[in-house]
Amino acid sequence: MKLTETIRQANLATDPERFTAVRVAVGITVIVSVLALIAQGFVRTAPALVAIAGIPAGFLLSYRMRHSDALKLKAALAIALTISVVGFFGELVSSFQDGLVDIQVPLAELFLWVQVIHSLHVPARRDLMFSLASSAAMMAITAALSISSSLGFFIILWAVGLLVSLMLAYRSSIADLPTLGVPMGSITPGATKAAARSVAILGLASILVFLALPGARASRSFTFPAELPSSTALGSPGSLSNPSLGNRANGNQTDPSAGAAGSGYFGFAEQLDTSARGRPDDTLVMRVRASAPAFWRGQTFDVWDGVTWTVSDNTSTTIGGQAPIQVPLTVGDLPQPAEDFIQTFYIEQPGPNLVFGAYRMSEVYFDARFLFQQPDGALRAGSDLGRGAVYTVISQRPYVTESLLKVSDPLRTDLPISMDPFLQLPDEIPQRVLDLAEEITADSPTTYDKIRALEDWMAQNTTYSLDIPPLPEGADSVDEYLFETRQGFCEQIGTSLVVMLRSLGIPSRLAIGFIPGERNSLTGLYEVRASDAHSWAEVYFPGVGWQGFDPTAQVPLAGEFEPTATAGAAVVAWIRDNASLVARASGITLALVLVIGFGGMLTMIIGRIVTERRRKANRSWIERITETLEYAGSTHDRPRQGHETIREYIAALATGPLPDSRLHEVGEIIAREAFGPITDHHGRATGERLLEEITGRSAN
Amino acid sequence: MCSAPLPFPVGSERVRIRPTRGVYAIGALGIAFLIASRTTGAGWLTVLLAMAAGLLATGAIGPWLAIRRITIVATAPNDAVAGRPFSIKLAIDGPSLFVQVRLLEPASERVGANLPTVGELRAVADRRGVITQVVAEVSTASPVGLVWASRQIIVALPTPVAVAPRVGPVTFAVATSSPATGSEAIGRRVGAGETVRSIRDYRQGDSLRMIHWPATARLNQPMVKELESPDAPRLVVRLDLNCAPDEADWRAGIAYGHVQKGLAAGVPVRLLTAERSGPHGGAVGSMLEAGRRLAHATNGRPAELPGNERPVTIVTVP
Repeated sequence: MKLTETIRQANLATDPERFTAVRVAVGITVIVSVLALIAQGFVRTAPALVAIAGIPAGFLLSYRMRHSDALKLKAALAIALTISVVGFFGELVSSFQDGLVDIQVPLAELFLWVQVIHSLHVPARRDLMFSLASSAAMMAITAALSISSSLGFFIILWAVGLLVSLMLAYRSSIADLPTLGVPMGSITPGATKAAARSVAILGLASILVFLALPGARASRSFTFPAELPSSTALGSPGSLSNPSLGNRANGNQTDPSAGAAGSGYFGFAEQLDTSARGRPDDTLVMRVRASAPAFWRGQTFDVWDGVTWTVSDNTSTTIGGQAPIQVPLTVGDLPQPAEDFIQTFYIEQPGPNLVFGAYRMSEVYFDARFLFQQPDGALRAGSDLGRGAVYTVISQRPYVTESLLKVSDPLRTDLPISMDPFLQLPDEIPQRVLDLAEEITADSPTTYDKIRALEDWMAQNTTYSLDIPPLPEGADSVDEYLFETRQGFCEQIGTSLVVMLRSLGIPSRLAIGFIPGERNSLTGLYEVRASDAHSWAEVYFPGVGWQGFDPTAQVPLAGEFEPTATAGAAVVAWIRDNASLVARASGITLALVLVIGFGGMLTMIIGRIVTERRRKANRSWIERITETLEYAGSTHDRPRQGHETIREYIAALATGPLPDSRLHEVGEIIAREAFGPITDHHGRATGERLLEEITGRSAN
Repeated sequence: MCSAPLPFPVGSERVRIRPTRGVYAIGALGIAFLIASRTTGAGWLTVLLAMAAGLLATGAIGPWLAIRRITIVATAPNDAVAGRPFSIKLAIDGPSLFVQVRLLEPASERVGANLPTVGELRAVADRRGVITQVVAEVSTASPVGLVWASRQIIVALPTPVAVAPRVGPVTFAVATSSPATGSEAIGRRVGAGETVRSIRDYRQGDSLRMIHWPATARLNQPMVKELESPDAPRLVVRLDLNCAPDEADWRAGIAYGHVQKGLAAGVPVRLLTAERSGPHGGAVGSMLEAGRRLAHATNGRPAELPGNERPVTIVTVP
């Protein structure tokens, strides 16, 4: 056989799907998956528009050509698919050459093209099922890439579409056979109810499985997204810009609220005044994809004057070139390799042009040629970082445990001269602060123990409060916190820890940034809010580098992070951590469920009663007398079988549980009334009377 | 009676589960979701994984539970012929779902149904005999068509079906003669040894001696006897089924063919068979009657021809 003939034979038209409803359901499901992908922002406008218009058109064309072999169309689709795959690899190679390893967009678009191309030829049920599988793969890609909880809406829609498609396809497969009884085309109330029940069961089963499944591990990124949409270059390269602070940027903190956005944090500035008040709100400022929680550090301060933190050296160095940008070591950083810790930051609110990162940043994927590095290692972008900005940081994370820190003690090592700035204290520091540090740590053998002792003392003897009295004129911020108010927030607490550590000869600095934020167990990303802005102490450990400590934030050491065991456990942990919120929400939800549930049940019961009464009121004489007969039979353990005519049933009753020959007369009357040309009122009365005498039950 | 071997012994009502290719596809997707969610940490993939697992659970447990709640009531006609389709009425009750139904004994084509339903199936009995029950196989993959659950249900028939054999090929020629009628029998003595073939309405001229008094009394109008001519040929078919089942069916078919020929020729036919209750030697007046007799015929010693019935044509099968 010739090759062309073989191909033609292999591509002969198969039996097309007869149920249009299956096509429509599958088409909608596929479109929902496409919309989900587009809504997550992974697809460029042109392919998105082509997909939105092309898939319905493809399904329509496919429907019209369902009886055709469509050999030429298939050949064209094969070519189009090849071009798409080649294009994908082309973009991938180009991306590698540019150094920006971000395959999200090409991959998403490849799946989109496959879906569009495939939609042009889905004649048979098998093809439609392949479309569903393909849409599932696309949902998986979307789910893996999504950083938003809004995907849940699409997933629910898609799941319903998938279920309905499968149910209709199954029904269609049954309808292919000769039918017994009711034709398949008719939608009975029972079938509708069964479908609704299936959706509910699937939802419940999925929730139960989800709660029992192992929780998703902390998010790891295998791509290195970097994007800087509509950024504005700063006038002074290397300077610090923070639009969220309004006119308080660049150290103007005289008016705490002037021009500041609710999400603005005064710590992201050239200096940090611990006497300043005002806290950022709960605005979501960024999402972070990372495999473990960490402090997302923006910058550090090393000079303390009793009230304000500043930096000893504010000169910027330009770093950059080919992506990824290599970040040079700065003071306190250790050159030895450690574990790569990849973090991708998705900016949600305009904020400082600081490039955040945990531990020691070694590489940065950034959609710009250059960054500016401060002497403390802090990185600044040369432009505003507005909403939609994305960058990826690779940090070197030492495997830090308690025992390691106890061994790596700065007090037992000759510190390099570069550590001197991190031991600086103001000349007029109150003596009682120094004495307190000595007193608290007197029994602590190692630096690590001293830090923990200081943290414990602050936890036991001071209170975290956002509502503290103003700092008196000339007062030392640390002294005020430790001895007078014993109340403070992270700036006072972190500063006090740094000052007391420095007084003990332990090099430390104040870091500014964000705590990890709450991990969204659906997206796997840490959601960082403005209120998560934080300051904490960083302590230098020889052989380890800078290690963050803070008694107010629960951030585990890098070597001691264990992800939650199951999704259910994660939910339980979240509920535990948000008990009051859950209680309020549960109360409201429970009340709503009860109201809706009881209301629904009541409506259903009343509806049934009303319907039954209407039915009884409107039933014919035949129906009434038949029901009476059936009831009598049921009470004698002989219900009427589905196949029995009334005469057969009467015969069965007369020879069985109701041996009364008058039943036959009743049967004749019923038959006459049912099939006879006229209504015999006398006969009806006779039938009712006889039946009442036989069964003891009135037909009325 | 089913020619094809059954997938499992008839009478076993256990539920059989058979996954479709969709199960493997969803399973593969689920594994991919699991690996991807464990490596990327994307919780949405865990949600999709949970949905895939939920779908498989619903797809497997749904049919398994539903199939157990199905009940069937069957009714069938009293008579059928082997190899020819006849209708069996099925009333299938159970939860609202789509099912495939077929009869294994007697065999039928596979049909689809939306439960609860009542309808007729065309079944074919391969062999003669008496059917007192049918074996139905109900399968469903409701609601999502991923896993098939099948169950055999044995349904007793309210009245048995007598399945006559196929009419076998017969080359035998039967001699014919007209039977004596009431009018032809005028003057003929009616007494012992005469055989009443049938009765009919009284016509003017009929002998009073030919009046059949019991029938006249019962019908309240004069009826007369029709007598067999004393020298009319008779056909006696003696069927011996002491052989293998296939051979027995063939013999029954041949006997049926002889009966057909005899009845077509208008001669009285007597069928000598063995039934479970013992030898049976009654006359048969129609193919229906003969079919029922042959359906009930079994191995054993067939009845013997009474000695006073002469002349006869005796056909012994084999």
